Amino acid sequence: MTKYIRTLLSRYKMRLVLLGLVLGMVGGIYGCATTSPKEKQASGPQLWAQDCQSCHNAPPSKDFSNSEWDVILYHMRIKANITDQEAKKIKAFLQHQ
Amino acid sequence: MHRRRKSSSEGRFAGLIAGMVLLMACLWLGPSAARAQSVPSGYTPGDTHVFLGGEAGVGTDITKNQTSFTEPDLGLMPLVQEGRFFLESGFDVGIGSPVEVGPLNLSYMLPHGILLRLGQFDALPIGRFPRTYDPGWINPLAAGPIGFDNFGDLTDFGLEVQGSGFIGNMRVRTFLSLTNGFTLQTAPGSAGLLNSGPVTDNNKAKMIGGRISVTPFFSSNFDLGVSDYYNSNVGNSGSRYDGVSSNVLAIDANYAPTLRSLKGFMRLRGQVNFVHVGKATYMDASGQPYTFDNNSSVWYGMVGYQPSMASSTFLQKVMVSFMLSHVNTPSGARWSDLGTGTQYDAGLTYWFTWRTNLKFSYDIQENTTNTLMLRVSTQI
Repeated sequence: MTKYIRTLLSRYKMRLVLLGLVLGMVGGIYGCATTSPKEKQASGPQLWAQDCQSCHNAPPSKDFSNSEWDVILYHMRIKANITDQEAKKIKAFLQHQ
Repeated sequence: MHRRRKSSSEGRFAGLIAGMVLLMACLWLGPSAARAQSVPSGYTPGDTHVFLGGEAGVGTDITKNQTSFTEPDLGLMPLVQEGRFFLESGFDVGIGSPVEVGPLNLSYMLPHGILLRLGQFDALPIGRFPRTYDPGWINPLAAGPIGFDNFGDLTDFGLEVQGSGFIGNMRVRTFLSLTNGFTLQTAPGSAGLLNSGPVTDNNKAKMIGGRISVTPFFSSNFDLGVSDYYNSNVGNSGSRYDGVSSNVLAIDANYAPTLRSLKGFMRLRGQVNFVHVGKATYMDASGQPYTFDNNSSVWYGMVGYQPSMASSTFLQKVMVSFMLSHVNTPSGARWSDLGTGTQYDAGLTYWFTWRTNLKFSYDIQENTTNTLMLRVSTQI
């Protein structure tokens, strides 16, 4: 029985890894509606510093117009996969400086 | 913008067709459907927002025997957002070479911030380096890690769904994609390598994969991710390589802590890619068959420190960084023109502004002349 399971795992190792990943991601995507208590408490400036700085220097608000921030924040949702709530708070902060 | 290898004329043709389809879809859907949909909360209804982004870089390479000015690098990225629709496009402009189009994709934002994207993606999220850290204005070093161009970087056509949310206070980010996938190279000198595209689809099989990452502590930037991309067939349909599969697994970790005791912040980045290609028999230049276990891996680790809280305003803008990277190739592979072994990089970066830097990097590679690279990179 153990040998059979080992053979099965060996033969389908890649597919099992992939299946786990797909299931995890589907679960994660469904979980997108969720927010965390800390996310609710976090301010725009805090999220701006934290999320931008994790990959590159954080840009100051004066460098772009409100209309440009609209596009940039949408694009950063694609690039960095930041959450809906975070994007809204960061944008509100940058557009009201 | 992510740097890509030159595509074939077929690849460019396919890219052109895909681009035309996407542009037509955008023109057709944009004015009507986008206005008919509710806009995401926080965005101005009915407005079309346009932004021209991109990056540029110039520099010099200095070796023991030669000093050469490098080809300037320019990538333009026009972005258009209207309501829930978003067009991401890019143009790589090279001296004396044709303009390359890409990325070129259309996104639609579903409720709860879930993003649906269709088109050409500049780099799939196989780990984080190709997609996030490669641009010159982000990477504090002038060079990228060795081997990542050949093992785990793919520009491709397809569909992607992405979203992010929380489990408690742990952030979870997910990407899931269905794309044409890697294709197998079979010519002598590169037989057994995967094309990193964009390439013409060569069979009915599609590649499925994605990335899931977690940020365990909300107020920390520590991020741990796993990516896996599986394609049941990378060989040309009807050829002797029909049915050869591939799998790329990547694990990455990234951390950018602020350290008040050191009066600055650090950047710690690392990634390992495992590339597996199924068994196949290839022909060498003299027509003799040969085969090998086609398993490769690449990894890199980078550490950077910037005393952003130092009393000197000059020091506040300086980053010191080191990178170690390595590529393992199969012993039986007969690949030429491929960097192998270990690469060491040390760099000093001065940030004029948040998006413009001057970099001095010293690059040491096995079997290659050591190079001092000077670069000025900027984000447009």
